Amino acid sequence: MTSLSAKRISVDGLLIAVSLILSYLESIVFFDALLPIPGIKLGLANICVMLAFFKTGPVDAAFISLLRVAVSALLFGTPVSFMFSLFGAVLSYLFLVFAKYVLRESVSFIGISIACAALHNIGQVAAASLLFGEATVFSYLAILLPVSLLTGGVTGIIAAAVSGRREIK
Amino acid sequence: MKKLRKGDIVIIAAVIFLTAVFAVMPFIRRDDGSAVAVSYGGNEYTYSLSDDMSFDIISNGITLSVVIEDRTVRVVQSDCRDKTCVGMGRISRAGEFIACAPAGVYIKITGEESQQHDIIIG
Repeated sequence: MTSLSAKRISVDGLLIAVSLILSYLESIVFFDALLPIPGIKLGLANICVMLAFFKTGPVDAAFISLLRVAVSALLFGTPVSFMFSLFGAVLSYLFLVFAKYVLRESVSFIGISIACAALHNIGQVAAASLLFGEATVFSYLAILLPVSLLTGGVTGIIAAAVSGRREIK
Repeated sequence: MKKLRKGDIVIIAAVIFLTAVFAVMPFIRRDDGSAVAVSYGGNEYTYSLSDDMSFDIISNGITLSVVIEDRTVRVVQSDCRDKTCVGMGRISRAGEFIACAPAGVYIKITGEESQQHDIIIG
């Protein structure tokens, strides 16, 4: 979609709204009860970004991702959480570009989603290491990365199911 | 649901490999620590791990209650929203840390080894 059609604008608006609802749910629902590891989230909002990227377009996905990060930080976060999310979102987005133009058919939503989850964690830890000036923070990835296999897998399965059943485009 | 593709397997393998790399990184010392370094607001404060004590840290308007007990450190209470630091539990070995991002507080255990290095360099 190259023109700013009413359909494109409304689909993008819808995806931003859904991604914000998912961010809100993750900020209140204590996922900790299921997996008692600090700093872990399912990353449900990434479903919206992935769907936007592959169904609507990379530019739309970039706007949705950035707006979601900015608005959810304003509504439910802090300046620090904004920085953490932004680092993670940028790294995940770069992977989406790589997947679309380089990996293409060799990956499914599941692999893409796992890579996004892992890179989101790496981005956040990089932000934390900048904030604290401590490289030791990276050791926490030994805990975060295996969990991203699970969270990324779950969000990937959901994205594949949503994408298969209902074509957004 | 479709089967996993070749690229998916590579991604999963890469994540597992990176996990292993970060798990054995040289800066994760598994030896017991001897001191607690608390840094916030551009300053670092050092406490002995063998002296039991509790103290409050006020940084960025957030109060953290830190307890040093039985050669372990933990944050028992925090005003912050996410309570990540409290959830990180007890730390006792060199290289382990507790981070509170909203308060900008970083608590880490240092070993005797690294302290000696500091003296040599300093």
